[in-house]
Amino acid sequence: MSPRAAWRLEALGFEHVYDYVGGKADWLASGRPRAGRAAGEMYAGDLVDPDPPTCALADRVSDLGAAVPASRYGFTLVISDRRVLLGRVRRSALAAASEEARAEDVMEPGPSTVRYDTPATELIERLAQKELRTAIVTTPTGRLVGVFDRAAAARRLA
Amino acid sequence: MPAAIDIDRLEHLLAAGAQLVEVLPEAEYAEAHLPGAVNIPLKTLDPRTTSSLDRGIPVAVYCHDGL
Repeated sequence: MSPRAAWRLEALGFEHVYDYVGGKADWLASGRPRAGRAAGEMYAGDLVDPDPPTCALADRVSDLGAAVPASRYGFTLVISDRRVLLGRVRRSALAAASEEARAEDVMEPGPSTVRYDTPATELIERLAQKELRTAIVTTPTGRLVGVFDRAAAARRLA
Repeated sequence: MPAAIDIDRLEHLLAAGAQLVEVLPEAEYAEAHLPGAVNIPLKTLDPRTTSSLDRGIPVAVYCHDGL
């Protein structure tokens, strides 16, 4: 729709016309400010823990040993230097790994994620139905927003 | 020729004073829109409805996902 609108505006005499092709879906999923009736609705991204345990692909398992058990989520997230989510290392994966192994060797690649603008109440219900405690929230470009903790989110919405 | 832009370029244009138009129907605009956007649905784009916009200032349009 917006490409047609852009061409129409140009035909109407506008000199510099730009088409933001990602549109509202991209904007809302990025977690940027929003206006309108839905502005007061809590999104998943609004309720995340923005600073969950993270590590890099090359980090040694021996170094993760302390961080992962201490994590209340039972995992650490593997991210790039631009904070793009690459994988997840679960506590259970560390037990069988050698000291020399790196995060890349033991991670679960491409873990499932949800978008920032998923309604928080909807996500709480979805997680409860699947008996899951957490969800990972990312932007459309794959950057880590944080970890959505079902119980913590429900408390904040109560 | 209109230029396709991403979110970073849009933010740069808005910071420089560009106008922003959502071309979705009014109900969708009322539900949620980008801060500062005005609503001119695609089906209503004409000289009259765009008369409040400045033709000499950059204008960015968007819909739901570009389709």
